[in-house]
Amino acid sequence: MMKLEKKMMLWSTPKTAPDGPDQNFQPYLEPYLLPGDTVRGCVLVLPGGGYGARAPHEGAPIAERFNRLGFHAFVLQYRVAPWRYPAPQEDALRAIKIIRTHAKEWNIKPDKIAILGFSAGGHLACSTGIVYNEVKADNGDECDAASARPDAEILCYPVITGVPGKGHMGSFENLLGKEVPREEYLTYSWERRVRPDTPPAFLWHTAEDTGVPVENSLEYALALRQQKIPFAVHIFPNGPHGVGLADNRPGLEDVTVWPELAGTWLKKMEF
Amino acid sequence: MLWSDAKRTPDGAVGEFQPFLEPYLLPGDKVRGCVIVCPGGGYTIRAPHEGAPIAEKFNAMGFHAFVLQYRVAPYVYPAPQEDALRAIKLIRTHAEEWGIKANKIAILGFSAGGHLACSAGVLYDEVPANNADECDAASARPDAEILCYAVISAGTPYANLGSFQNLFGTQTPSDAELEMVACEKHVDADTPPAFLWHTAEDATVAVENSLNYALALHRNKIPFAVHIFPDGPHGIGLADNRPGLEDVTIWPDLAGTWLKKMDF
Repeated sequence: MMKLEKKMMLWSTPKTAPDGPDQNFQPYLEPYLLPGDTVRGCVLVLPGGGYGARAPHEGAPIAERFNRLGFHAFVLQYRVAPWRYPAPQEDALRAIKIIRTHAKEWNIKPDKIAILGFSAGGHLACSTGIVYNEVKADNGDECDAASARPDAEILCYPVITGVPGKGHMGSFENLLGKEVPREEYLTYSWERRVRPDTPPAFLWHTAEDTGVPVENSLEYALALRQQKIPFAVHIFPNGPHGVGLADNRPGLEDVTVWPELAGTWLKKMEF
Repeated sequence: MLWSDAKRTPDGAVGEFQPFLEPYLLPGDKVRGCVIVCPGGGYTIRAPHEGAPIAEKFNAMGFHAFVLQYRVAPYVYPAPQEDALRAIKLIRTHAEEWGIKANKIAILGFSAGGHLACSAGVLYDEVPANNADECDAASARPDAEILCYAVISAGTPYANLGSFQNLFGTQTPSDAELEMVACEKHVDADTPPAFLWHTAEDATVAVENSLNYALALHRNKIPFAVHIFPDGPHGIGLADNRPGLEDVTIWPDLAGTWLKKMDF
């Protein structure tokens, strides 16, 4: 049994940061479970921050929004720099295993666990659908046996590609380390690694995003299409990077429809 | 009617069908942007559900509109394009009379009508659309495009060959012919902004048409929006009264908002 509390630590043994003294940060889940007995799908929210931080406006408010749409939710406070690949991925995959293992207790449909991420959190969300068998996320407990594959992905102005000119290089530097040559970024460019078992994805982006170019979403959609994986893409015409829910942003009222569109998409897949 | 003289089909005879515009002008003095609606039909027919209802929807959002009944088979390229470009010149020339903002003329098309709309935005300097009247002097460039599950690309594996067979009047259009009308290859700094929408499952016109055109616009720094809805077959128009496709019914609102942001 795992106790639901405000901060649910992911790992039994604290993780050690790569360059020396233990960092104060240890990764954890924050649950946002709706009251009542209805068994629901759930959305695991990964804030953005270039793999160097975790942006608050892309965490709690998003979980609350998906609660209002009728889904259970969690916010994952995952490891970022100076931790390197695959630390964030271990955290996300472990989170999925924990949720799936405890789904019955928590009134969650175990095969309806969606992962949602913004910006570099989108890179992380997308990676779980690709490397769920490659990256070990074991803790020596009963969750190890659960599948770590997300059932669906919601990718919000996501970092996906590491190709120069299209990629957000800063996120890759934080994820892999500055010393790693840029050719290596291609290994972690998910549009190049879509397979038939890659989960369906709902992507959205703003055409004017100068931080993470819109190719990240468009090329991933094309790659999903190649493998006949279901998807939806919404590229809104205006708006800078990082708008989150886009509420209280004059001129971006059209963007505020994205959570509903994503919620409808999940409902159609019986989340 | 678009033209003073009757158009002839490739065999030289006067065609049974002559192209025309159907106006949907809102009453009152307000000067507004306008939308020219090009129904789809593979360049061989013009689908009614992609004509009048669309013009009325855009009227309801506050825009003047026209439905363009353009030439299709047995007429061949560049007949449809001449009709679209002539329509734009006509409307632009008479904009003041009709309460239309002369630099806010959008062209909207479905399926092959989408190819027509898109091609107007890349071929407006290549295809003459003259009628020996005062409209000839007007620019034929649309100010914006709304492309609905549009045929856009030609000569690629995801292109809708049937539309081009009809457009060129042959089962085997040449590479050179297809290259001419492969819109994504002709995007440049003057290409108009576009709002595209499509359904991911469209089995008739592949969604790559929209996705790749968006990439071409992005590379040329042209403003755009794209909405790919997850479900729905080809040809749904407004998508009303379609169980399971309620999410798609927002496309006209999104397109209308987009036009308003550009002062249409």
